Amino acid sequence: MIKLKKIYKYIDKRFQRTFILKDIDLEVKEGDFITVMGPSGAGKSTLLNILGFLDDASEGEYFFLDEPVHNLTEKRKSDYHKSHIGFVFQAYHLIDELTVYENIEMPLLYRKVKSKKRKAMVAEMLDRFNIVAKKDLFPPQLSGGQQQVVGVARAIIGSPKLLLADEPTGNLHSEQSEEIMEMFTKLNKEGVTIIQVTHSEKMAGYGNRIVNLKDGVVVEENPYDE
Amino acid sequence: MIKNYFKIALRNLFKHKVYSFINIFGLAVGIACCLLIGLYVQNEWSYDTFHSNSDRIYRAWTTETMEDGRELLNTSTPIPLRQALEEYIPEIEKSTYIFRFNNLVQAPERPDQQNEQMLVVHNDFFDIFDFELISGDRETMFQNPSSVVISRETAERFFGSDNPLQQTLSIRIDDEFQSFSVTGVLENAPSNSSLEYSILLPNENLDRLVGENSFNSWFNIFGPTYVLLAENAESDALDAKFQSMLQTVLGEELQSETNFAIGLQPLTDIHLNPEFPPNIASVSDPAYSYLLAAIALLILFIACVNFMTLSISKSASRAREVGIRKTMGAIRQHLMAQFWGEALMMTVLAITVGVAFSELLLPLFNDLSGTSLEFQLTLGSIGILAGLAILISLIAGIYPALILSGFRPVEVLKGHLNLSADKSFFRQSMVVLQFSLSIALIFGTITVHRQLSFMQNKNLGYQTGQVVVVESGLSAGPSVPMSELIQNGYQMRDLIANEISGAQGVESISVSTFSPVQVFGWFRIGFSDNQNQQQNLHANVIDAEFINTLGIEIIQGRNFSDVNPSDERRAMIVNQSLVDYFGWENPIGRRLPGPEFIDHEVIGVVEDFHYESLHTEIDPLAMTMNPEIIFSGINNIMLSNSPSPRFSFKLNTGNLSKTMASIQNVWETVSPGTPFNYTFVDQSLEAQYRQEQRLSRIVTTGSFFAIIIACLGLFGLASLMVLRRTKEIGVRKVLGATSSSIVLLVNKEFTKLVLIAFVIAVPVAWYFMSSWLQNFAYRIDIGLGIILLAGISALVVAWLTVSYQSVKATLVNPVDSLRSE
Repeated sequence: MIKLKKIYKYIDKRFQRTFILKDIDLEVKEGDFITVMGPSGAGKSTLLNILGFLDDASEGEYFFLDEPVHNLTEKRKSDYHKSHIGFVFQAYHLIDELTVYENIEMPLLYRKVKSKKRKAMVAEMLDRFNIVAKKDLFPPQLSGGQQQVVGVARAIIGSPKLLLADEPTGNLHSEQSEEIMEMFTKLNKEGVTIIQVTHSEKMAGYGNRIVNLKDGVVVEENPYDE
Repeated sequence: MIKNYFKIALRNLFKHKVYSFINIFGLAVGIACCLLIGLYVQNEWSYDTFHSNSDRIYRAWTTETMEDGRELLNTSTPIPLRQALEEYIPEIEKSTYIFRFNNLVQAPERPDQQNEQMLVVHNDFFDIFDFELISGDRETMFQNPSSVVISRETAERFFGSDNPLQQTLSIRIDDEFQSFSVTGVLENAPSNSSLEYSILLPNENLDRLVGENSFNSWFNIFGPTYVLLAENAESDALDAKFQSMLQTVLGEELQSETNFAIGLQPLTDIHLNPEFPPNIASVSDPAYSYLLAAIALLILFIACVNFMTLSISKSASRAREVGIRKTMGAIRQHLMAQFWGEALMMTVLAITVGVAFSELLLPLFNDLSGTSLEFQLTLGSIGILAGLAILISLIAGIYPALILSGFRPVEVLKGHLNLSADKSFFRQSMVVLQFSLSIALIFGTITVHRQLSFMQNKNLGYQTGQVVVVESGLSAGPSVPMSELIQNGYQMRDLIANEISGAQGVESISVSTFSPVQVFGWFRIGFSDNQNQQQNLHANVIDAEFINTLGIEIIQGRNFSDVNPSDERRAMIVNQSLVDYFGWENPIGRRLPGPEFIDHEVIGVVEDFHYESLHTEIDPLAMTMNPEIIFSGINNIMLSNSPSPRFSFKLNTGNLSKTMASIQNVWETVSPGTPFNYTFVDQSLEAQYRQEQRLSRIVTTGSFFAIIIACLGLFGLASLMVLRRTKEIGVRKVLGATSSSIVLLVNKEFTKLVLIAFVIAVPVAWYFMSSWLQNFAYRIDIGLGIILLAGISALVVAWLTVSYQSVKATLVNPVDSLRSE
């Protein structure tokens, strides 16, 4: 599903080039549940952003469903982005001025889904995540865990093939974290490919593969295989 | 989708109440100013366009080239012009002469006489112009010479609610009352008509108002001639025809000698073209409407800038939303539509409030500008409002729509958003711009005020307080020679003086042809001097009391004296300017250097005094008791006021109303039936500067609003800046900073901006105000005082605005501000 070949990401400042990612080769198959780990500043988030089309690599090739992303136009990227990829963030990133219902509905608006169908889809999500009672509340009125549930619901409402999660449990306490991870596992079983970034060994345990990054280089891939 | 945008816009509106208020209120005030001024300007520009034939109506002008090469342009025309035009120029379909005069009018049932302004016109008047006839028969109403057409307002004044048709009005013409029968009532002239009327008389009455020889003379001018051209006639092509017509009617010799020429000025050009003498039409300087339009746009612009700067400052919070929406699949166009839509919503709200404001403020504005405008909600005005809404929202929403929508989601979601140097530079330059405009407006306001108070307090060279001028009402028709008029004035003065001698509070009484109340109205005479050079002077016919009554200072020689009978015949008093002009070293005993003047002698010189307004320099002036001295030697004379004598009373009273009542009593015994029309000199002087005062009031109000709006913006910016620096302020306080040092810290940033604005604004404002001051012969210097005052007041206002926020910030407990991070 995803192939990264010799991906580099660097920032040029004056006469110095600072590398964030160096020579990353990575292959992700459909149905994978990958955890990216590593210390702060290792380039985990940057890698995730490149995978999610939010950022461009400085060098290297990126194939998404055999399409060369590095050659795609903005328009095509946006289309792929809309239909294939969902995001979950550490800070939830819900829009405070919209209700739970409206937040979940938002991706559908940009995909021009018809009003009736939209209603049905949002209702299904609310039902599935048990947040029907909260649909008219605004994000600041929810606990962190509840907000992240809404975040996950919003990410998967468009039935993406790939779910990218940047420290989805970083702001949650352990009980809430486990709940979210259970949810991810369930989604993975339904066929969604998941790539998550985390610091926590425990959360990493939910995945089936681990990529370890240090200073922008893959130091160890999938220790469980050994 | 739109519903979603709408919701978020509305919720943002309520969430940030202060900013929403600043935005909407500021914009609403800007729009209200714009609407009101727009209404005024539109009224100015639409003058006379309501006539269905407005593009074919013209007013004739004449030019005459004097011997010294000066060209005299006039819109008063000779009476035979109309006849000649009808006869020789086939393109002229209709034409009318308009003669204006004042005299007494009385309705039979009412004993009190009114001094009315009347127009004598041809029958064509009603065909050329579209003034609406309310009642009366168009075909027959002017057939009888003793018929009269009046305006609705006049009808109500004289006849109340009675039907005015066939009623009688007694009008005094050439000293006797004559009955006229009302045959028509016209609707009042619209507010944008340059012609106004109350009583219209048929042309046949003209021969009793002007001398008989005037009917054939091409060099006696009384009033304008208006013509209606045929539909496909071009006014430019007529010039050659006019030339040949003049050669026929004047004779070739006279025509080449005088270079007499005529031309046509379009009716719609009259109101805003001050280059032509105004005559009976109302004319205003187009510069004032441009100036007003500029002020309105400035205020609107300042309000739009607020909108922009505040949205930039708020962009930190909106940026996150941009990031989220982009990761959810929004593309840039979606966000541009959303932000521009939001701006549009705000603008529509602001326009609604603004329209309400302007509706409320309209009476105040009319008062301020001396107009009587009304709002009419037409399809056109709604279209203009809609256009305005789109324009403003495009400008005001330009930053969020273009810049914010381009943010990269990775950066904004990570909180890496740095409103980098260039963006804060943009924001700061906007503040600088706003304050430059405000300072320039303050500068203008102060300058205008100073100049006005300078004029009001300037020593005019005569006494202005407690002097009252009463019109004699003596008829000055063609049948009354000038000398007789003045003799009548003397007699009347003696009668009044006898009667009034017992009355308290009247110190002296004088009769003169003109008084300081008639600005621009004293005789302007021209004569050929001994070297055959053309010379021009001002002149007045006065009595021995005039100089005392007005407190004019004699610096050489003596005043006229009653005990010296030859004074009445051959004495002259001149002003210092005249002495300087002719370079006389010893003026006493000299005579005017014209060969034609009869025997006379200068017996005194007075200090220069401002008998005209301060717009003009003091010209040489000669005053005599005997009008023959002046009239004997001149080759031309100009006067803009009736030469009917005036009485000046010098009062010395603590009880003004009682003194005035006793003067009126005397008046009614001496001159029964003549209206008691009086003017206080100081009041009429103020009226001379009405246009400047109006300007001053409008500029003051405009700059007041501009500054309010700019301060609202500054207030919002300061509060956002303090918010951004809460943590910094908290840390500083923990480390021991005093409150005052923190206030200083915040204020320093804005002080810098105001100072930059000051440096930009001063030269620009200085340039404009100096050129405005050129209108006055006597003017103030724009000193350092005005410049500093403008700068300091802007700074003080800015400090007060910002300090509220910075003081608030220092009062926050640092524990709270640091925890919130």
